[in-house]
Amino acid sequence: MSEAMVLDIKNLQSHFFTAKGEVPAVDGVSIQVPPGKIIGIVGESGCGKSMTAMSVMGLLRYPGRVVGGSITLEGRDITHLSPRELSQVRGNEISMIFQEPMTSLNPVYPVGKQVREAILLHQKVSKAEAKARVLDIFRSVGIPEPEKRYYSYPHQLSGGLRQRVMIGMAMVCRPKVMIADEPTTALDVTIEAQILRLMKKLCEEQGTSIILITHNMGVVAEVCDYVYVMYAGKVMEQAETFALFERPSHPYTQGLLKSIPKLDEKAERLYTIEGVVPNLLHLPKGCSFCTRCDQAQERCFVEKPGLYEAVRLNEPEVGGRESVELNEPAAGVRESVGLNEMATGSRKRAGLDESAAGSQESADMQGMAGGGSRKPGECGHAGDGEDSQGRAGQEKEGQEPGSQGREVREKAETHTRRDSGQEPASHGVRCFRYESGGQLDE
Amino acid sequence: MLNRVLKRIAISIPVLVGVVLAIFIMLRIVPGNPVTTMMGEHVNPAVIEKISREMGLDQPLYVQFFRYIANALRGDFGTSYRLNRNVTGIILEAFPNTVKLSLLAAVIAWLIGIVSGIVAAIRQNKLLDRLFMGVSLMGVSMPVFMTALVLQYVFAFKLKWFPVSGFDSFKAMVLPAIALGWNSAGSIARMTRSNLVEVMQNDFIRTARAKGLRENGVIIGHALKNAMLPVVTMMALQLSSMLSGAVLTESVFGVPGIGRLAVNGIETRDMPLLQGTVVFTTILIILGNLIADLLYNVLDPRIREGA
Repeated sequence: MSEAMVLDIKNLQSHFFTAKGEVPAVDGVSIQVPPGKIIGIVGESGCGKSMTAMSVMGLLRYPGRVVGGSITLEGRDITHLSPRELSQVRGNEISMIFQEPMTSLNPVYPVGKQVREAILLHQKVSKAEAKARVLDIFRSVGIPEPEKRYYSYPHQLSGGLRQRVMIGMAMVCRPKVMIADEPTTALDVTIEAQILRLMKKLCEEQGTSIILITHNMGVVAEVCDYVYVMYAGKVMEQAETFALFERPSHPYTQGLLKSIPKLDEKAERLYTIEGVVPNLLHLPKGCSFCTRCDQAQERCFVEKPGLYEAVRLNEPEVGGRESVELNEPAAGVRESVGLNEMATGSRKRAGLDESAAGSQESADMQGMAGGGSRKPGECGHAGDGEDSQGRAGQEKEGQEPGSQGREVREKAETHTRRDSGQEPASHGVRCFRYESGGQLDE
Repeated sequence: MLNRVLKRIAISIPVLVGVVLAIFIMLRIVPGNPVTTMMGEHVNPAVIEKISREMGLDQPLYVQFFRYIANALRGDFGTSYRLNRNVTGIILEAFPNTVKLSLLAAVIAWLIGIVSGIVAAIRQNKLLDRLFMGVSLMGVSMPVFMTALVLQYVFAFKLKWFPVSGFDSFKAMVLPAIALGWNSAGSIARMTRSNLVEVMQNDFIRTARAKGLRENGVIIGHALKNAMLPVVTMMALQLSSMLSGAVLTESVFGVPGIGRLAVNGIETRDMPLLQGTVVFTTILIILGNLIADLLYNVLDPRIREGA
């Protein structure tokens, strides 16, 4: 599975060493990016989205640095590259566009030259040829009059045009992965749609994978194939986009989705998740989200849910959470889970899903699981359980999550989104919410 | 662009006239009759009066002033009382020495200032940074005559590496140039460093890094041009003030330049000479400002646009 991934981030930890203490801005994040897909990372400000991206790019500056985990780009570990090696990867194999198109371009050089520089840095071509390529990419990102715009200075362009230039710069070397850090946050909504469409189009044309960082669930719904929900430096939940919207598992994700105002509902006040992201220096003792979670139990406040990892089927204790195989997520998800998780998954569904399909599935699943388990549920990755139980050994590895997911969903009788979304999924925060079945069955 | 230049020049004219008026009045207010200074104390008052009349000093002030302006417009700044020569000629004779001294000093100041500023910015808060900034603080805060005297004492008097004074060989120019440039080097270094550190915080620096530029490329290629905008302006202003006569440096090292002319003019109450040097100096400073302004235009596309 991991061989198929373009970018494989495992248990990434990036800390900031400040005078007040060590801040775990990115705290054990694992993200897998399949080729040609758009992966969304959502979360509130300060949840570590951008820091994850900066870590991948090797752009973390003092006092922050990557302290653990690994980043693998097409099988090559790029976590600890020398500055020279890193500079060959940046802008060439992984590129990045930023939130602030207004300030992300150098004000004293024409934009064409700035894009051309990216080509000249990574490819042995003449200046004239590089310029021709810049004009090509300008055309494909929809910049009108590229010959004229080539010589424009950033202040002469609108925000949307500048972001197009940035996208052009990021795509001009045909990178394998492009990280877009809130690329449309600073833009008009109308421009936003254009830019998103453009990114999606380029991604399809060039086979580039995109990591789209955003706090906007609408953006996620529009373009992402797969979503990671981050909170306080951790991945809380991950799922295929469709599945995430249909059945969010983690209370945080549920809160995020509930916060989207709906036109057809009359509400006095819009829903909000109370409170703010906790100070990473003083995280709650238990789950990072417990202070704001409306479903938190006593246990959530005292016990850290911890991260779960993929577990190999051939490990002695199947489903044992301690037997973590960080280095082998490939083996992971599909074969990874024991009965306990299955039960969990089904219970979750039983509790949450009102839809006929959902309850149907739940019923089936409960039957399968035998209903006995009391293990903590997994929010991060809903449903390895059923899947492995039902299908371990049948599914081929290396399938892309999206396509596979859809097929499966259509056919599924006993399998739900978990089948689909899980391919890259192997990691997340375990939520105690499903610990006691009673609570959920209420 | 041309419009802008013409506008700037037009604005400069009242400034120039104002300066001439001020110096003209001041020289008439200070005690001491130039004729007595010129001829000595014990001269027949009738003679003094006669000479004063010949020189037009008996005329009302405004007449003298307009006469002066009228002559100046023709390039005639009068005749030095003391040297009995045309002031324009004297200034043009001394000016090349000042130019040589200033250019050498400026090159030294720019090289040392910019390089150490960049190094300090790159090694921010490290030993080299603190060392350079400490030395540059000394450069900024030491008065130029003190620097000049220390250099003269150590390198000319004690070590005998350079002549104590004079300006007839390149060797003789070195110490005055260092003394004159030292101060500028310090302020350029500090300004380069602080601007560079500030510019490095910008988003476009992150973009340059993300593009795959290595750190040196980021600094030289992307940060420096932005950081140097104000520094270049300062350098142009410094050069114009050096050119308009390093009074102290030229006095200490006995350089026969504009600065020394001005001092001579003051010492001997040589009004035409002093007036001439001051007007000349003013023109140079106005030109320096103009050039600094235009340089900013050339370097910064955003300002160019606004013109």
